[in-house]
Order: sequence, then C-alpha cells, then structure tokens
Amino acid sequence: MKKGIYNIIVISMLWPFACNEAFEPQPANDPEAIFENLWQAFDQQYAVFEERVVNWGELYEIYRPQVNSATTEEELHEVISNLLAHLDDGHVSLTARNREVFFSNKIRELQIEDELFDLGVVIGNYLEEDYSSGTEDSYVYGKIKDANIAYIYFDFVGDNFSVLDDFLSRYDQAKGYIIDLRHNSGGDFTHAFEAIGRFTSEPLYIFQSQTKDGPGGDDFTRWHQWFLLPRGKLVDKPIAVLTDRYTISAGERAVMALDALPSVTLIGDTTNGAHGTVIGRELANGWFYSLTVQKVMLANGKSLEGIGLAPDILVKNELSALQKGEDQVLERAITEIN
Amino acid sequence: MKRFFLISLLLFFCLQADLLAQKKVENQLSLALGMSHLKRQDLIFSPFPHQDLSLMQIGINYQRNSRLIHSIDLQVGLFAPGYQTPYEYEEEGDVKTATNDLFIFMNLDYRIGKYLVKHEKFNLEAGAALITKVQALNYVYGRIGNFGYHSTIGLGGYVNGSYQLSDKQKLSMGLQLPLMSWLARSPFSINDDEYIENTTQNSGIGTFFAFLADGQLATWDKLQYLDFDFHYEYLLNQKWSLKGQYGFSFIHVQVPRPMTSVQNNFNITGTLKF
Repeated sequence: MKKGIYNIIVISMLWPFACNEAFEPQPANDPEAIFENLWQAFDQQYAVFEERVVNWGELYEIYRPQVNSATTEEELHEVISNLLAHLDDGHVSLTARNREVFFSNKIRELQIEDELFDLGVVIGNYLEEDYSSGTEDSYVYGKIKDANIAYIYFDFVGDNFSVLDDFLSRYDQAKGYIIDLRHNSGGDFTHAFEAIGRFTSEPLYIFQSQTKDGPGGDDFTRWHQWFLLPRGKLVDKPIAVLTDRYTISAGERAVMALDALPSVTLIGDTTNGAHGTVIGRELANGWFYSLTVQKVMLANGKSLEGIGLAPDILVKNELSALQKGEDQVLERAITEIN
Repeated sequence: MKRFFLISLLLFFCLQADLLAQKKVENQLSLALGMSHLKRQDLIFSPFPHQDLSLMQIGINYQRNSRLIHSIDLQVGLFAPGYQTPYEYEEEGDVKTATNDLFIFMNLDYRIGKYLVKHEKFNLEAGAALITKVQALNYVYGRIGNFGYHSTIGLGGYVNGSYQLSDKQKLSMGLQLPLMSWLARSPFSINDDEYIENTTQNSGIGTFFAFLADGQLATWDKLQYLDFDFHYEYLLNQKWSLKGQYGFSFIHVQVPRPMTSVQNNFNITGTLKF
C-alpha cells in the first residue's frame, strides 16, 4: 500500500518521462552480473533439478569462479553453455547474436542420430501417390503401398492435429493406423488430446503437472490432472505409434496419451525426456535462454523427465538402409499391424 | 468485496436511465490518430524494460451532454517493443532473426458525470468511470515466444477541467483512476495448467473470458493505475474542431510479480458536434 501511494505521488510530481523511480532495479550488463542473473533465474524457476539429478548449488561453486570482470563474451558463452549442459534438458537453450543456438540436451546439441529419420523416404517409398500434406509438411498422411494400413505424420503438436478426423474418415476401412511422431518438435499438447479422443470410449487419466509459482524450491501450484476424454465416433483398431529421441515436449505428452490406449504399440526409440512447459528469458547482454518451469508425473506416479518414454518395440534405423530408401522402424510397424 | 464490486457495477449501469432524458442534448464524435511511447517492465517476462515508439494508435470517442455527461472512449494501440535491437542467430544451419515483441492494447472507458462548475471561461466536471484495459502480450526470446495478458476492469472516478482561451480555443485537462479493479494477469511462470486449460477454448473471445474469470479483485495496495489527459482544442466552425492531445497512462502492479508500465501518447483528434 505504501509503495503504491509513493508511486502515485512520485508520478504525479515528476515529469511523466522521468518515471525511473517506479521501475525495479535491473541486472547489470557485465559478465559477473549476467552469470548471477542466469544462475538465480534457474534457481528460482527451473522445476526439475531433482528429476534430472542436478545439484545447482554445487554447479555454482564450480562455474562462478570462472567468470570475472575481464571475462570475454566468448568465454562467458562457453562457461554458461558448460553450466547448462549439466541439465541435459531438451527444453534448455541459449541464443546469442551471430551464433548457433546452444542446446543443453546432448542429443539435440550434437544432433546424434538426427539423420535416422527422413520423411522423404516415407513419402517416396511407402505412401501411395494420393497422399495429403499440410503447409511445410506440418502433417502428411496417406495409405501404405500394398497394405491396408493408413499412415499419418505430425511435425509438431498444434492445430495440425485437427486433420486426424479427416484421416480417420478417409481411411475408415483400414485394418490399422500408424501415427508417426518421430522428430515431433512439440507445441500445445491439448490439440493432440482433443484429436486423440477418437480412440477412447471413456475418460483416461494420463498425467498430472504442477508449475513453479514462486521463487522458493517448493513453490509450485497444486497438481493438475489431465484426462484423455472421448470425442466423436470411436475408432478401435490397432495403432502403431512411432517415436525417436527427437520426439519432445508436447510430442511426448501426445505419446503418453496414446500409450494409455490398449490398442497402441510404441515402436522406435525412447523419446527425449523433456515434458514440462518451457518459457523464455533474456540477459542484460541481449542473449536469450529457455528453461522448464513444470513437473509432469504419469498416472502410475512416475516421472520420465530426463528419461523419456521407452518403446514397446525398440527399433532404430540404420543409416545405410535409410540411404537405400528403407525405413526399418516403419516397416516393423507395418509388420506389427499386419 | 467481490459482491460490493458487482453491486457497484450494477448501480453504475442503472444510472444509464439518464440516457432517456429529453433535455437539450449535445453530441460529439471524435476520431484520434497518433503515436505513443511505451516503456514497460514486467518481471513475469523479463527484468528489463521493453520500449517502443509506435505510430499505430487510434481512438474513437462519443460524448453526450444532457443532464449528465456520458462519454465512451475506445483506444487501440499496437507496439513492437524490445529490450535490444533485433539480431540474427543460427539454428540448425538456418539464419534466423530474434524479433521484437508484439503487444496489442485496447482501452474501453465509460464515464458518467456532471458539471460541478459551469462558467463562461472555466468548466469542471467530475463523475464515475468504468475503466477497462485489455492487453495481449507476445514476448519473443529468439526461438521461444510466450503469450501473456494483462486485463483490468476498474471502477473509479474522473475529473475534467477546461479553460476557454478565446471563442475558438480551449485547454482541457483530465484524470481518471480506479478505486478498485478486477485484475487478470499472466501467472508467475508465464503459463501454468490453468492457463493451458483456458487456451483449450481455442477461440479468442472464449479464451479471453476464461482468463478474466481466473482474475482477482485488486485494491490500491496491489494495483495502481491512472490515465491523464491534456489537450488544446481549436474550433474550426460550429460543427468541427481539431485537438492536439497528450495522454499519460501509468500502471503498477505487484502480483504475482512487479510490473510497471508508462505510456506517453500524442494524438491529433477531429471532433464532430451534432
């Protein structure tokens, strides 16, 4: 109340352009202040230190001495990148002027096995010619050649999921479906939940989540439960869901929902293990970073943050086979449905 | 407290019975175009003030003078603020640009009052005001974008004073501020499960009302804001006048994290009297 009255008096008395009194102090633009600001922001808002088995305080003791007033921009970027690398979190990144984005997750940063998925191979060698696709391949769907199986791929999780109804209508005579979420970059999982409601006749409890709502280590909202709710005409056929290490964020949450269905088999590789909501922040030197502010716990009481969802059938493409036009993960899915 | 706010709102609208009064009525319709400088620091999104000078400001005002003075004011502004100038970065080999934020502000105010002093040279009017601010905020952090919102519906008062410099020239000054408000604002970590659930409405209006429903009653200790206005009016003829207008808006809120917003507006306004 006193600060409010003080603000009104200051604003009323001072020329309107000079209202700096009302603003909060800002972090300084020097290497040490920038490091402190970033470390503290994570300390107050990053939600999954425990799940990722990271002692953030210990890391401060290791990396803070490496920064002083003479630290160059190049050196500071390296120190912060090395600090963030300990989290190995697909949702944590550092963006700087004229540099490649740094990803805390080793798989994303080094693009490990990124080349083991090629949508072009799927379209060229496995789908019949009358396939459909969205803008910039936001979705691709069609019938598998020489098989009564329909395939759909989603590049991210958003309003592109609304085409699932069209897909199911067009291929309502298929004996089974393949939903490809490999290299799915995430988005808004509620779009996936809305669409996937076609596959269940009753509400299914999928996971619960809680979000940081204060600077203290235990400052979280109450757990909020998320259910997959039935919607529209029930589709009860075998479904193979394809995943890989680049299935991340809302893509993983979509996999969680699909995995709760009795008719679904997960095929491929373990997902990335980064589920919680991500936010962006900025530093005094103009760099941006992202961090996870939410915990997610599955219906079985387990958290797969930092672990990922393991497939029912582990299959990985070989580069040599893929280069010859063979998608072994997809072929296994076709075999399973047949 | 919530009940008191709702009753006050109801009484406010009940006063509109004056609109049916058949005393001498003067109407005026104004269109304002101009620019605005915004400086905003919102710790939910960033510890740094984001600034922009925007030329995209438009306003419409309808005023009816009879036994009471009624005024409806709609203002819309577009801002592209940032902390630093946009720069290029690379992601998986592609060069991308870290663009500025995008804010859309809408103010919808209703005032009802009467003259306290009505003199040949000097007028003073005062009354009650319903002050609504809806602010859609898209913060951009390079490859990450986060949507935020700040909305207030305030009940308070206003005062306007005007001084007739000559037959054709007039100076006016006004102030409005709320006594209590309904505040809906982004949560501590920008979004949480309630936020996500609200956006599943998947329609702009539905989502907006869902956000509003998750708000809280805010009194002066939590939320302070005011709007100040100063203008010079020149009467072109019996029907038309032109105004040069300066406006100042200030918002300060503490929950869930401090936010301070200062806006300086400069408008040219054309007014038709009928």
